[in-house]
Amino acid sequence: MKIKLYLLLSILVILSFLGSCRRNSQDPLWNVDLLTPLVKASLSMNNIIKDTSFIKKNSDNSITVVSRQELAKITLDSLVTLTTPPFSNTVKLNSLVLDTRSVTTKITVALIISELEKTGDPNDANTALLLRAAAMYNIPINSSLLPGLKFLNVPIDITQIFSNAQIATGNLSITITNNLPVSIDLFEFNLKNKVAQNSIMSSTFNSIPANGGSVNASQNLAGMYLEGDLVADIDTINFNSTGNVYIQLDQSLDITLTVSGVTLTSANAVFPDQDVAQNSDEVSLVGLANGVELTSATIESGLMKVEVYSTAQDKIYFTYSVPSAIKGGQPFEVETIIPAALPGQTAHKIFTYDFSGYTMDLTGENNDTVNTFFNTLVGKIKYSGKKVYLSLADSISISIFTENLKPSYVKGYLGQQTEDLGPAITSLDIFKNIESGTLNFEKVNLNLTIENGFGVDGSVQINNITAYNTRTSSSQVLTGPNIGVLLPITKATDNPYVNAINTFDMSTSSNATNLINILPDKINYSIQVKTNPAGNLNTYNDFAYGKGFLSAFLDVEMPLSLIASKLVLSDTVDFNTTTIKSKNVQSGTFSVFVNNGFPLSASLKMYFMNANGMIIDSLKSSNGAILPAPVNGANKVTEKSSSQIKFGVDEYRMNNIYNTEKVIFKIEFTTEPSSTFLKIYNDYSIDFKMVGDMDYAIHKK
Amino acid sequence: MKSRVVLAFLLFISFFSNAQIEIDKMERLLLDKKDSIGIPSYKLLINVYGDFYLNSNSLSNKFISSLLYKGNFIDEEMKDKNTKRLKKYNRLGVDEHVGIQGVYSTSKLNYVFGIDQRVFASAHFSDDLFEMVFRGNTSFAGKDANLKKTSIQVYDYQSLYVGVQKQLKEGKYTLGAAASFIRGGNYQGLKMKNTSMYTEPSGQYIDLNGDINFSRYAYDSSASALKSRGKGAAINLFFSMKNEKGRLNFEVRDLGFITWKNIKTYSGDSTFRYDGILINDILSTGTSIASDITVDSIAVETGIDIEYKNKTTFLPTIFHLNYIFSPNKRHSRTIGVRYMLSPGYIPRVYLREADFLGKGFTLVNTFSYGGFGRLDYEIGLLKKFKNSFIISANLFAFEYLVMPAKSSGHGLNIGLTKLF
Repeated sequence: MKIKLYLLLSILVILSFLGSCRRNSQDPLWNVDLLTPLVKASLSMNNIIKDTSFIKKNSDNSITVVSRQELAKITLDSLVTLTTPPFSNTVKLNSLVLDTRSVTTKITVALIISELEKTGDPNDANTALLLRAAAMYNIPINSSLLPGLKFLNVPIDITQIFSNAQIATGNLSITITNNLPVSIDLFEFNLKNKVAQNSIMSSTFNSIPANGGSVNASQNLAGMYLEGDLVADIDTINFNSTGNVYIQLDQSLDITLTVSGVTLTSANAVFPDQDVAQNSDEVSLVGLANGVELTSATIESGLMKVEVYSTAQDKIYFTYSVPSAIKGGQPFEVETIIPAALPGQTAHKIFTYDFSGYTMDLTGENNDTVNTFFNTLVGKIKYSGKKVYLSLADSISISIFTENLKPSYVKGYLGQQTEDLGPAITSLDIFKNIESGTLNFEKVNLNLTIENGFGVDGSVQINNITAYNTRTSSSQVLTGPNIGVLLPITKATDNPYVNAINTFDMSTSSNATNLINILPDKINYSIQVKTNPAGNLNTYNDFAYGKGFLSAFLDVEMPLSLIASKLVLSDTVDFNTTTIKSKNVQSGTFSVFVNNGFPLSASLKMYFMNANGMIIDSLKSSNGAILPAPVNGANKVTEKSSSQIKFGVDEYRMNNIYNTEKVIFKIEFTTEPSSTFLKIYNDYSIDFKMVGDMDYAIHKK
Repeated sequence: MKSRVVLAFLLFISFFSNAQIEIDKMERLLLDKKDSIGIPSYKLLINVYGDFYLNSNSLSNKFISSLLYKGNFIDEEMKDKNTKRLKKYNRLGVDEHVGIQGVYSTSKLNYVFGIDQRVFASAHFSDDLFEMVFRGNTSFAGKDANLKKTSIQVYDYQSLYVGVQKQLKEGKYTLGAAASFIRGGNYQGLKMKNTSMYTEPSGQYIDLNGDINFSRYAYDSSASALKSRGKGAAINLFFSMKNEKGRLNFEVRDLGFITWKNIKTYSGDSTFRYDGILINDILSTGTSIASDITVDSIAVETGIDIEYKNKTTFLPTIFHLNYIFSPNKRHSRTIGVRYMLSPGYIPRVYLREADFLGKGFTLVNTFSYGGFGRLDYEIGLLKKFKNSFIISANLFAFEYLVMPAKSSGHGLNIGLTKLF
């Protein structure tokens, strides 16, 4: 009840508010007779031709309709493609180095005593006892009591440097430092691999001063194989008799081995930071036909892919760079890590990088070529503190390839290329709504416009343009002096970037007006465009943007000075608004009041189509129901003429209208007076107003 | 600050006034005579009620019934019959209450509290407006339709109220007051003071000459209870004076306002011409040729201002004066006049007689003139049970049932009261 109360009073309110109505379906509650304007419209040429860029106002205020039909378009893709061949390179480790390392072995007094005690000789035992007592109780002893010594297989451990190594180049030095209080007269030793027992170095020293005196000798290690565990045979140590001396157990004779300048063929070693692989090369673009020679290219989108295989049993820190590819002032450079390979196996990894935005210099490393870029790769190992096996036989295999490289800009010489535009047929939309009748223009201007967005000179040859009216099966072949001849095309300019507009007159001394007066809906064309017909005159200064294009347009200018005879325009519009679908109107008379400012008589027909596209009803005015505006002696409209068209709609027809989804409007125009070219002026307009005298149903909520 | 004002107000009314069950209610006929008809004293009274009242000085009951209840098609014959009943200016009103009320008595004060849901509508309109609404404007082609003095409003609101009553001079005088806090729901209202509408003979344009003010929310049933579209406040005042023969009562109810928030308002005072909705893109392929013709599109086309703003409306305040006296123990008579501040409502004078029939039954007959209608008759019945229950029913439907096509107005009040 409350809702109905609101409905009642809402209806009182709203209907009293100029006759607007509830919109509910179901049964009507009561009917009213409404007499009300519904819709109105005022149409000038600006309304009739929605895109005002199609309208050109002439100096006498008359109107020229301009139409541009694009025939064909060439984009950068058809001129230049950037592809690179897969670039593969296998690089072996080109160097393995060790830094300088030293290992010291001490022969202390305690060790000497221990060795004397082990000999089993009673004299040696007595000497050992005497030395131990002198050291423990700080008793001076006469140095003549020190015996000559001999130590065999003294272990020299250099595994902290490597476990084993095949030396390519390098040096081994031995330093004997005598920290004993007694000078040495003779010191003989021989250094050997512990397992292989081959001698690495032997030497004899005749005088080593006491209390810190030292001597040294060196050995070239080139080509030698060293084990990490070495042994030294000290064949003779003879002390000098210089009187009483005090000895201590920790006083020692130090033997220091130093390896330096070592490069390795292979080693199981703790390696320091070092470059192990390096390669630089140039990559050439492929597939650039017709002599295209690029000096630079900016990449709009695309990927750089790097695939790496490594046999090295250590991580390889890998750097790939294209120094000539610059983005934001920085060259293209990527760093990544290839994991260590297992012994006897290969590590594998693929890296993908976005290459968009980079500008590539394509003149090579020395700026002396084209279509070429320079790239480098470097492999490094880093100190890890762990021993790993590396060999110069290890390798890094690298494949580099690009994917979907699309340039946003290229520069260089774009070659001599020929593009055939057609033969092809394109639709012409200007007259698409004309269903029948004739329309004659007094004069038509027809131009072929080539809009060149590339920085390359060219030429165009129009082989054929034929217009067809498929409705009337009529055709016209365009004739004129510009058909079949080479016409030069100027190039676009850069900084700032401006397309070059090349317009070729196809009207003068031609049949262009006749061609348009058949009201064509199809155009058959055959046009040939060439680039750089005279070769590389721009000396590598051709350019093209990715967004650039070369388009051929057919431009039609039709001054609206015309004769129309029973010209039928047809258009289809949707007819499904909620206002219509509310089904409030039962029946009525709809009047269209027309104030016509055009020198055209007209009649109107409306065909109502259901959802299946079937015409289910129609409304038609009598012929010439819309009267033409009168014209003066200069064929110019003097005032608008008024007409009224009435359409009776009974309940049956109204029901058909409710089932309508689309309406086909057909308007038939005839210029009056007939057979006289009449100009259409900018200030001409026609006003429509639809008034409904309706039996209108107020529905229940 | 607001809470202090409210507190001060409550203290004020608790000192001076006395709120109680409103004097319209038939239960008062029994409660005023409770001593003589054997109703014991009570500490607490709870009353649940529902009232519906609809009346008009011109629209017949049959017409209203078709429109609101039965949904029958209103044909030309029915329109013709009702047209004959039309005055130059016509009135229509609807008042619907549902609520619960309580009174708690102490030795010094009685406390009153309750919740009331009200739907209220009133209309004051010309015969031309009726003709336009129910027959259309075709018959007005070339003529001015008189829309002067049009006032139509429909809205609903809820009030939560508390009050007190106090007796002075040993019950000779009673003062009472209550304060209501109000939550507004739906609202629509139209006012046209000096307005006419002209339809061009061929229908090419329609002119609205004069002023117009139309405010509305889109109707939303949930707004009746859940949404709050407006807030307001009101007070009720009560005074009675008793003498040896009877009691004089005076009551003011719903003296207050609602401020509706952000309501869509169409307004203007000029000549507004509607000559069709302008279609700019009638030739655009793929677009519709008929835009929706709505109140908004018409307002835009004619230049009527549309804005969202707050709007304050006064409540339909009731002023009620009556005198109740008892010629004997079995009868009680009431003479009173009731006026409501609402367009279309004229003072309603009534005479009521209550017969206490025994066995707890009381028959009540009421004759009245005015309000939204004209001369009306109501019949009511009360029954008390077990000295603690009272049920009441008052039917205003005799004319509706007997001669619906020639009468206006109908209604029904029912109530159940429990005494503790």
